[in-house]
Amino acid sequence: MIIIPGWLVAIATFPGVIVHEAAHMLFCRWRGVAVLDVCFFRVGNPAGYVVHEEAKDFNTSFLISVGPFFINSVLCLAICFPALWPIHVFKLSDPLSYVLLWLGVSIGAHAFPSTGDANGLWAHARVAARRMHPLAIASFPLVVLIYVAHALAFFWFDVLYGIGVGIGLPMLVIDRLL
Amino acid sequence: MLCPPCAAAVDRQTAARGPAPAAAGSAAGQVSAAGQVSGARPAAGQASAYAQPSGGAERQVCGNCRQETFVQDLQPVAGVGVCPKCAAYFRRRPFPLWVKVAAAVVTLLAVFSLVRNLRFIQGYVEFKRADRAFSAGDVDTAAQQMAAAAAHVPEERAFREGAEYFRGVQLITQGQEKEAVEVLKACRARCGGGKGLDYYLLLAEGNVAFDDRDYETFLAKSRERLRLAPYSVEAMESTAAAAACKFAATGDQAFKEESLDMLRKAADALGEDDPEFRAFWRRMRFRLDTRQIITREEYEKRYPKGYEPGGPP
Repeated sequence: MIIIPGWLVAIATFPGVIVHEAAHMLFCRWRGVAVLDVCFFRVGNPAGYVVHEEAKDFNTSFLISVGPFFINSVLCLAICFPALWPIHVFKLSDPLSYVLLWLGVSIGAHAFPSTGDANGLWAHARVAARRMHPLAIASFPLVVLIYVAHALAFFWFDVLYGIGVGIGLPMLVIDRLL
Repeated sequence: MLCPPCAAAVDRQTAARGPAPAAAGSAAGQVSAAGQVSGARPAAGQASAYAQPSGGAERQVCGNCRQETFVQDLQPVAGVGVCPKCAAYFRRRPFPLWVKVAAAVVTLLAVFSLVRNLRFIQGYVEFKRADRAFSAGDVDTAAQQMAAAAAHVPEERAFREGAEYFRGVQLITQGQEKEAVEVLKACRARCGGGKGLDYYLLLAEGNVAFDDRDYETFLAKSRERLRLAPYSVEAMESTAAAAACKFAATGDQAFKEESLDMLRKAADALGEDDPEFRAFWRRMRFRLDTRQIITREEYEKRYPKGYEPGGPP
């Protein structure tokens, strides 16, 4: 098993970090949550962060925590799906498509919320679940999934997720469904 | 001891701040990071610890910019009272210009990726449609879709050759066999041939030979086609028709036997009750009984209800 430092992976996939933090900030702005500080990318741990005030309700907390997961995943798919066609279907060596695939996979690799996001979501979900909030109850497995994903990040799960969404899923659609 | 208005103002400010400012900085602040959690920036929270009433009873410094503002205008942000301007800034914090530019570039790249590669998607979908149409016997749709696929992805050799192949088959169905032979031969020269391509080329060449009354070639091409596809009823019928022509032209009984043998095989494969086969069988019986070779149109004109020889073979 090759151990590659996290900062090196972050540099190699820096567009994903920027999109992830921008998505956090976007949802904060949308829900009127004050953003106290933001770093879109840096060489360090964490590679980026958004410091915001505590969300007032569970829905807001959910959106801010999980929003980047959806934004990054959708962007990853949107960029990779068309770019995969010349390479996978027509076996053409298209440099621009390779660049687009790197961009898409980079974005997908940073889709998963951080453990900080999971901690915040967990705290809110516990309170909201007592009031039988359906989304809060449904979010418990999601929080567990986030923790598991982070535990597996050592085994490149985050990058594998990006490859899965950006390359695996479109290939499945092209080969099996079309 | 404060006068009643001052005490009320301080109470309002305390209520607006919520918990103690020092705690607000670390507890209320929350980090959402791509990597690990890092400590919340305490600047705003700590600044409020020093926010004290100053000047008149209704004024206090903003927890962020430290400008004096009316107490009733202070808004809580992360448990700290800040002026409306700062509150608006924090709640609608602007994205840096480079992030906006990067977002625009990523969006443009996503759109560009789709627009640029749309022809590949269209070409592939058209290719699949053509393939399905050809399998279903809809040659016109197959030829049209494959031509469109080749136009969308001209660098794909298989599409170009497929378009030529389907066009050739389409010409056969339209009765333009000579043109079909040219198209299919050109296609075979480019791609090296294939079972399907060779089959249709033999069919076209056989039909051209029939039109030229060259029954020897017609029979040879039909036999070759049957060797290529031994279970093809179409090839059996073609061989039966060619042998019948040869019998009509020469009177050699061996050709008549070959024709009848092929008709029996086709009847076994299709079933004697198949209406199309029955019509074909009657036409062949006419050829064998009368030794006259006429076109289908002429035959249908003479026998609108079909020739009646005496029963199926």
